[in-house]
Amino acid sequence: MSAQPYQSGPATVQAPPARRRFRQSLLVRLSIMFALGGLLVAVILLFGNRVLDDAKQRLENAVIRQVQPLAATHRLQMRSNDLRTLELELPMVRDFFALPQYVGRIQSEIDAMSAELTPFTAVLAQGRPDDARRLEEHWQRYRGDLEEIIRHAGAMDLAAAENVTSTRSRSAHAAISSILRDLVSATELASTEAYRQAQQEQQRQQRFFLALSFGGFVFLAVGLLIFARSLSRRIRTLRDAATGLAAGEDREPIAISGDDEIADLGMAFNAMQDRVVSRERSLRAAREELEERVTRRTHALAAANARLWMLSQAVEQNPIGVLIANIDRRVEYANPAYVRVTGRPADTQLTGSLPDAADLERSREIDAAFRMALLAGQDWEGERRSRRPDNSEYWEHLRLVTVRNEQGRPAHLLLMREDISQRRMQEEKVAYQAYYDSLTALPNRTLALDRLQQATSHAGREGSKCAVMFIDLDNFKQINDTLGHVAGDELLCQAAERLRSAVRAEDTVARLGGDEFLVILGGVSHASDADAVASKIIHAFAPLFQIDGREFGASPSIGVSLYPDDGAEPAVLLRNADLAMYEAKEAGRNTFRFFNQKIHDDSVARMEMERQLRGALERGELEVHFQPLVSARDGQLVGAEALLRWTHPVLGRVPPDRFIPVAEQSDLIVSIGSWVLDEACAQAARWRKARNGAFIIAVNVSPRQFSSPGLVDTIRACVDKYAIPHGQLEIEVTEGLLIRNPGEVRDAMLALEAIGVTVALDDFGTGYSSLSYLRAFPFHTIKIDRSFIRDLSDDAEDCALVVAAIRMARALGLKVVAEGVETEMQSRFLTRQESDVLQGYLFGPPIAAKDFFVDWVQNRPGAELPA
Amino acid sequence: MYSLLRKHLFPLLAVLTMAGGALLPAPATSGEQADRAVAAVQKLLASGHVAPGTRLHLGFKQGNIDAFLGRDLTLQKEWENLTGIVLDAQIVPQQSVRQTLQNDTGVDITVARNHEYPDLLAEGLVTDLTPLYAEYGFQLDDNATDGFIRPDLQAWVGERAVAIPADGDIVLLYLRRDLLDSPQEQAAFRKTYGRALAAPKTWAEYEDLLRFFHRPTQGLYGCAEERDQEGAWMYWMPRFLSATSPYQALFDAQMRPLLDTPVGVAATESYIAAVKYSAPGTTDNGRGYNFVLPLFAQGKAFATIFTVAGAKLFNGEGSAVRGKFITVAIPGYRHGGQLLHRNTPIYGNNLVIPKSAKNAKLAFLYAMWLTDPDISARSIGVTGGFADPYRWSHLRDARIREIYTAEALETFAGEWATTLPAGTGLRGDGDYLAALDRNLTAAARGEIGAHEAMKRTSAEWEAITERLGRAEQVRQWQASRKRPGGRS
Repeated sequence: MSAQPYQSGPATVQAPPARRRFRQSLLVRLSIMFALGGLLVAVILLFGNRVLDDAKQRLENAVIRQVQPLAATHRLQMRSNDLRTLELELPMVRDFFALPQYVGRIQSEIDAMSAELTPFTAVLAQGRPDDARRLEEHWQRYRGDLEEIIRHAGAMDLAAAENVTSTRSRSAHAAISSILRDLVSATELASTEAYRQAQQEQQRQQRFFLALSFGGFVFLAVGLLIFARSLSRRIRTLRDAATGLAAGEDREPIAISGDDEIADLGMAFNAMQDRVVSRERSLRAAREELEERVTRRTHALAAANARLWMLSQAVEQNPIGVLIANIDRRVEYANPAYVRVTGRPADTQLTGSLPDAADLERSREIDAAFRMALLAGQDWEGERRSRRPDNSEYWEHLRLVTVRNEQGRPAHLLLMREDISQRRMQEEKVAYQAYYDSLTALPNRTLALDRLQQATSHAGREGSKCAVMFIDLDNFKQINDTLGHVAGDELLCQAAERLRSAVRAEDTVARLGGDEFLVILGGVSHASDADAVASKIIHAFAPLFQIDGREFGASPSIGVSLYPDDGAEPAVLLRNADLAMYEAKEAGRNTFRFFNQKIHDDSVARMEMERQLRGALERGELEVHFQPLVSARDGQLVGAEALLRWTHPVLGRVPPDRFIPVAEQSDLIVSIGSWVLDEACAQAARWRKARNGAFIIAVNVSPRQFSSPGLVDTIRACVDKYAIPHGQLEIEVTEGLLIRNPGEVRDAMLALEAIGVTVALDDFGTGYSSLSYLRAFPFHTIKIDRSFIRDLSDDAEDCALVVAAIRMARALGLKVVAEGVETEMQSRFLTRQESDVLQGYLFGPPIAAKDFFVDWVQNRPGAELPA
Repeated sequence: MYSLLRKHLFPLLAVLTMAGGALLPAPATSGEQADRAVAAVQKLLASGHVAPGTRLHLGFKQGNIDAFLGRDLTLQKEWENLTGIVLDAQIVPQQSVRQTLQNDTGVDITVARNHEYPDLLAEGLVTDLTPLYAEYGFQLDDNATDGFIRPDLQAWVGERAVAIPADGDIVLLYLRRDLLDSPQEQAAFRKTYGRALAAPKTWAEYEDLLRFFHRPTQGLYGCAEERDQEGAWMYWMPRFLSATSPYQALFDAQMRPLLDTPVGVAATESYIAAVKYSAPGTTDNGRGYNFVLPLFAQGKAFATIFTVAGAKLFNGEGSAVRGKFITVAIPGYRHGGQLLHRNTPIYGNNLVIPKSAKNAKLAFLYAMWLTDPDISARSIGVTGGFADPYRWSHLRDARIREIYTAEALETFAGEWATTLPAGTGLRGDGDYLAALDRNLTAAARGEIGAHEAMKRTSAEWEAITERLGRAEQVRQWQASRKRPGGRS
């Protein structure tokens, strides 16, 4: 204790020693200490900055060494390819007066290539003399070929020029391209190695810098420790005195030693000790308040830390790759998703963070935009197709964001990278489905119309023609209905293959829907070109199709329209080709027809008639006439056939064979047919009542009505509405109906039979008249066509046919109606052959309902219905 | 009297004009026309009549690009720098401009052949430029310093200006100088024909020369004259027009065709005769100048007939006949001891403004700028393209003389005095000439004789005249014979 400099002693206060001239105050000693420490830190920072600059410079040099040769090589490749393009185009010049333009451009490109190549080979010769020599040799050879092409062009000998372009110059150009490609590969390898070495050097210098920093800090720490130990002992004395003071102990003044601030402190302490006690109370209160504040602050910090942890985890676990760099673009953080997306560790510098592009050409622009935004510190985003180190390619969405501090100054750069390959794949799939037919993989209607627009635009610019072929498979529906949709689809696929094989690769074959195809031929000079292709298509369809091990024939009907002769708009060309296709159908199928004025006129006339017919029912222009059906046995009336008539205010009486086909084609037949059925049934009901007996009403129903839904319901409603007895409403159908939808028709006929409606086969003998139809379908009546009846008088063969038809009907239990009976002789013959019912002008023409009532119903008794 | 002047005085004046012009200083008006055009464009832009960013759509043929936009597009860039109006050039097909304009191509200015003017005007396909010439003070004068060559033939239909001259195409005869100068050939020719071997003055002499030099087994054909159906009339018309003095008319005063006549048949026979001394396939479809000109340029033919553009082609680098050909006036017929020949414009790439043009004024000002004496000399003075000299100053320009040869330009200058209007000069010209082309080609192919060809053409011309209305056709025919440049 005696050695304690501030030893407590008697109540006397030890006088301070005399002040020396140079006082080693704490300030002086601390200043020296911090000056040394600051100097050390400055040295370390200067050295570190130098190390960083060197590393950055090396990396930049490595990048420049990579980019400059690649750029020069790329320029040479571009020029070489431009030259090749020009020399290939030159022999195809159509006008000799345009040749000098091409010659001039080739000459300019040769000069530019030479100017570019000379410094390039000079530099190349320093590192790769063999490549430089080969490149120069091949260029001289290629240049010689080009100059020969120019000479041939000057002599207007394009065949000789083409001979050079297709042989010698092709190999010379290929050799140059090959060398340039090899150079690109070699340059990339060398640059990659240089980059790797620069990175290693940077890491080595970083380690050295860290070691130096560590040494400096150790030195500083030892100095501080020694200084602290010298102070500690004296301060402990002060502390003990202060502790005693704090504890309220009764203390003596402490002994003062030394000549520095601590000695001053000891004296001040002694002076203060007297005052402390008096202030102790107020200090305690102040301390308690301070502790309270500290507690609150600690809680706030803990909450902030928790939030920070949550946000950092959100970034860490985010599926989007996130990379954070400081404002010097030095990477500070990259989350695991960043590595997953790019397939490689995060870079240390943001400038190098773009991976290889899957498509250099397409990525060039977006890479440039990215780098520009990066340099300018601007926000940016874009999409790019990239390649991972394992060569897998992927689409990524890049977003660069500048993070600003509270003062609004850029503080960090945030780069987000998201793998959007799935989305892009989905988008491409959707785009494909929008433009291609999923069955045949041919362009669909949308794409076909777009191609047609392009073809007409191109032809318009070139002053050439293009042809549009509308193709319909003649018996597709029959095969589809017979064998089912799977076989129908197989037929469409095979048909698509044959169409593709019949045209050139640049022509378009599309599927418009169903069994309709479209072919677009560009570069057509004359209609005969399209003629040849159409013949080729028909020839391609000649071999039978193999489907499910069976053979089927399917021929095309082709309509052709030409641009600009048959229309300037795609829609018009398509419509006209469609019309021409119908012309081909009508011409017997398995043929083609060019659109012409007659087709157009017929179409216009048909449309005009359809327009007029559309309001005819509402205007009251349609009328149902009735032709009597009489019993062959006694000539008594048994019923009538309802026949539609149209009287137009301008056109007059329009023949049924003109307007009924139009109504059938336009679906008007459905509404008109329903009206006829209702009108006929209504009249028949009145006459049945007036005659107080049976009255058969026969109504024609077209195939189109059968194919529309609800026909049976409509007829059933009529039967119910007019209380038609069984067997007194007869629906007349033609054979054409049976061929189209045999299954559905048979079901409909059975449904009609169930409600007492009979079905007659109209125009019997004019079609296939297949016995199998009569057996397969539940017919009740056949109506022998008027053409057989008309010739009965003088044609023994027709007589035999009619007799055979009646015998066959009898054998099948069918009723026989003979149409077109005009003479007594015909009537007698048919009666003799036991025909059941006769119809024709001999008995009466079709007449209006009121006339029919007067002539046939009012004053004539009904006949017994035939069995 | 007028024909006398034409025959003797005009060629002399033309040659004197060239010679005199060569000594004159550069004309004071050079460049002024271009400056006025540019100022007018700027005024249109300032007044809002033309919106900034407006594009001018040009429809040129493939061979026009260098002539109208300059080598390496220098003229295009100059115009765009001066006016800010972007030129959007597209290639129109090598066909009748009437066919092209019948479909709206969207072009503001395009090229037309001289003989097409009446049909284009009658069918309302092109703009009457007379008001625009007046509005912008654009003079179609033919002053010897830097005026247009025969603007009456190049721009006018009656009282209306329908085109801006931009190409001078008349027919010239090209012969192999090396063969004519060969002592062996001269001796052999004199032995066979009893006269000196020289450039032909008459069509009969021309046929003798073709016969003499026709040696297909040695790779030399007598001639490489076009016999394609498209434009057959161009090679028949000089023969026909010179058949009588002062010229042979196509119709009489009442529009009755004068084809089925001894002179018409003789001209046709001369036309057919050249086929015997031509390369096989010359009469096949599509065998136009792209087929025959290379034959001459490659030294495979003794003679050819074409516009002055032929000289540019034959004088080019790579041509086998460079320095070995001469350019002379086309042959004619002797009438009473006097030699007479008549020329006519063929082809032609003069500028017209379609009626459908959306920027007609702008298009006119572009044409005014392009045809300025200075600018046009630069546009003609390129090796490519088939736009040929059309101002007198062009004939003195050193660049152009280098390209065409001085001899060809002197022959060219002299021939304008004997030149009559192109085609028929009538509404329906396209139909008349198509009938003539068809029958001439049938005759050239040996399907019918010369007399039958003229007989059929006469009948078809009569039908065309009746269809178009004889009275109106007669009125137009008689008016065309009286107007300046007409066949009076």
